[in-house]
Amino acid sequence: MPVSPPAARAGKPARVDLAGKPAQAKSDTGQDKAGASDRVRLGVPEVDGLMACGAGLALGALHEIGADESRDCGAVSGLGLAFVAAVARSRPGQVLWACDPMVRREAGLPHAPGLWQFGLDPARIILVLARRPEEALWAMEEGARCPALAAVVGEFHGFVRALDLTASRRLSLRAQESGVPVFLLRHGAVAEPGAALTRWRAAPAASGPVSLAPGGSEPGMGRHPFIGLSRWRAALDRNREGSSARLTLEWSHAASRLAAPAASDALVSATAAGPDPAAAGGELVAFPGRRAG
Amino acid sequence: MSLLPSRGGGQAEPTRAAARTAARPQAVIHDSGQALRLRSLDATAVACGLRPGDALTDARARVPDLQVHREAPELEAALLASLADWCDRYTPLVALEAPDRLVLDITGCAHLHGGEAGLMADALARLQRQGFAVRAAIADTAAATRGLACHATSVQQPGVLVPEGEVRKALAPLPLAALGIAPEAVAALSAVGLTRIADILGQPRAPLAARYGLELLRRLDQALGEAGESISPRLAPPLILAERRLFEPVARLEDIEAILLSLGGQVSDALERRVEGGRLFEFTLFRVDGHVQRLMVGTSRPLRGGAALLSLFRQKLKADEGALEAGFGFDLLRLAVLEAQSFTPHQTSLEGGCLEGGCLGGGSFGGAGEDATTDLAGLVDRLGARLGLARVARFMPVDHHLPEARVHLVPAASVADAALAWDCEPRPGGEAPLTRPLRLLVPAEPVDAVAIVPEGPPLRFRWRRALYRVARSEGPERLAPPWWLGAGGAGRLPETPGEPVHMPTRDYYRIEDEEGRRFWIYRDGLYERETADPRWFLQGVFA
Repeated sequence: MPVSPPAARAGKPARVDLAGKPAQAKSDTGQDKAGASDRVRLGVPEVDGLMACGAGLALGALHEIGADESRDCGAVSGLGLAFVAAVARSRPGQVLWACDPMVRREAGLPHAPGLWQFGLDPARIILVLARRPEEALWAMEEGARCPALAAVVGEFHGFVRALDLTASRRLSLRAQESGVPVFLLRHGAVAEPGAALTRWRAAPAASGPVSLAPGGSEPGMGRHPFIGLSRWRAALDRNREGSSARLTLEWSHAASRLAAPAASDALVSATAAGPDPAAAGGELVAFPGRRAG
Repeated sequence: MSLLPSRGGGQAEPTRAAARTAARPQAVIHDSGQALRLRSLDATAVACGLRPGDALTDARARVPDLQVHREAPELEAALLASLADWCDRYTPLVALEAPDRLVLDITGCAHLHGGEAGLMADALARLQRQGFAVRAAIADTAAATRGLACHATSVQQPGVLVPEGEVRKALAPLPLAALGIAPEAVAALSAVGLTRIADILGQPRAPLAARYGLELLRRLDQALGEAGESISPRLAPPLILAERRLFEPVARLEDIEAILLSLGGQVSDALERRVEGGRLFEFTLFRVDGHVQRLMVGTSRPLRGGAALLSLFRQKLKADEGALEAGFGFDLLRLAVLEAQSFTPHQTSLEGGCLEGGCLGGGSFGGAGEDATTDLAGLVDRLGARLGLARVARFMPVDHHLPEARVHLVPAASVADAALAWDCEPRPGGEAPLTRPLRLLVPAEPVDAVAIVPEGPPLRFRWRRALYRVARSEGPERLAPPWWLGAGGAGRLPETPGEPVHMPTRDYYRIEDEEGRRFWIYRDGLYERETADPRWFLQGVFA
């Protein structure tokens, strides 16, 4: 249900796993039957454990996902959409997706068949094509006030003057009031101070291995091997509920499930205190994000 | 019945200013190709003995201080259109007849303005106060008013009112040109001594038709009302209309909103009687100086209720602040329903409360699914009112193989959920790879790619000036344009300007660079079959 009564939110959080079924919470009071919940499990214990109560990503909060370079828009969109898809599975309603004009120019529009394959039904998306970043922000705020929505997504490119601390605080407050999660995707922008509950940096990572023949060598075509499941290097460099972390995440589109791949080395290097931002990209910079100030 | 501001009424700005100063004779000239000729004149110039159609050189010789303005057809058309807008205050049926004539169908409207005489006097007085030289006529038929306004009026008596059934008598003394027939026909008739309409009224019809054509008789019949003639109104007449005329103009936003609220109530009552809800509303503000402003608001579902309407128009006003220029104030405000749809209210509570226009104020927390849909529709309406309905879109599948044509963005307010089913799209299971990108660049961006085998995947490529080395690749997936657009298509349609000239077959590759970015790129054209030097494009970005 879109709205969870404040009492339920303040008390023990109910848990919902990715399949949308309430997890076996100890205090199954019946409220959980209706789906009242303020958290969604991502299915990755390494991530879910970082949040309060170890119960997954908080709904009713602002989450920011960004990358320094605009050419990493695939990683930002992928990680962001993985979260949105997890939310959309547990909450009914539409997803409001607001796009800044610069994003449309630099990274293009979301492609509906691609969304469908990724695991998010395009029919559930309402796309807002804003003319200015201010309009996109306004639309996000209106959306965050509407409990009938499953989630609100806003995309911006580069440094946006309108998207200051006040604006992100407003979004965060609206999300808390209504219980609608708000995801802020920032392409080609360095991390700025904001009111987001969690802030993620996304970077591309080589895709997972393809094992068509068990035990055999990696299949491929000519000189190139095939492409496996999408992976990203995700850095949770700000987390108001717990510690920050860096890990590689993998999206299994068939199961609509995030996972931390076992094979890759140095999976979790959780730093106990303070943000530890991801290292800047390679030496070839296509369009670096404008620095704030 | 119709009302006609005549020649001189629809003049461009120069003449309008001239009417105020009237110091020097003014004229608008027209380049006929061989000579510059006077097209229209102000009263002072007419008093000097000039006539429209005189050569400019002659006129200059006779009246040395003649002030001349070049004609500007676009400005004149715009001015006439704004006048037509203004005339909306009398009737919704206003037809524009370039270059300088408006025909108003005032059937059933005259009593609102003090009868036909009162309406004409009001229109003439207001237009003259705005600086126009205007002539008007009211008669039974549109054709008659055209003739009367041009030939039966004078500067002293700019308006002619012909009582019902007296058109024949009023037209009789007018020259034949008043019928609107070709000048050659007028000349031919006057050559045999027929100069006035009275001269042909009593004549046998067959010989007239035989000698001067059927056009003459058709025009005559139209003027007398024996043959029908329809005017083409500029704007579609609204379904429902409520308006407030103000003795004292209002300029404050609060006053306007209060009036809008009460007009919204009236309109809603009318909608309720029809068991309908409005889908498209128009709020028109008539400023005292003749300027007309229109605000349009569309909704995603049938809607009624003054408060709901007001909040939508508030969004509209907020969207472009300062769009409403009050000036000296508005003296007429009008709310019209342009589109409506059947709408049965839902009873939501036992007390008989009805859901009227939803909860636009900011979300209701009462019921179950019903409220959620209303909430969502309200949100779409609010966003659409401020950003424009087309900017709040949803993905509609189109049966097309080319990725850029696969999706059509349709306004969320006007599409049914059933039209948005994406179930038919295959969803790869297990470890089968994603075949469609998450983001699509439109248009696709050209890249410089190097491939070892001409028909193989690229080895490395340069996109936006940065070099990418391909580490993994999959493909090709061959997508060909429809045969009628293809390069070798036999039944090729004739080329229109919008049509792409050359649409070769595309070979798509999904590739991953050394750092793990996944892209969708294609080679445009089959090597050596369609093109000798294929170009590469990057069209999409995978997650």
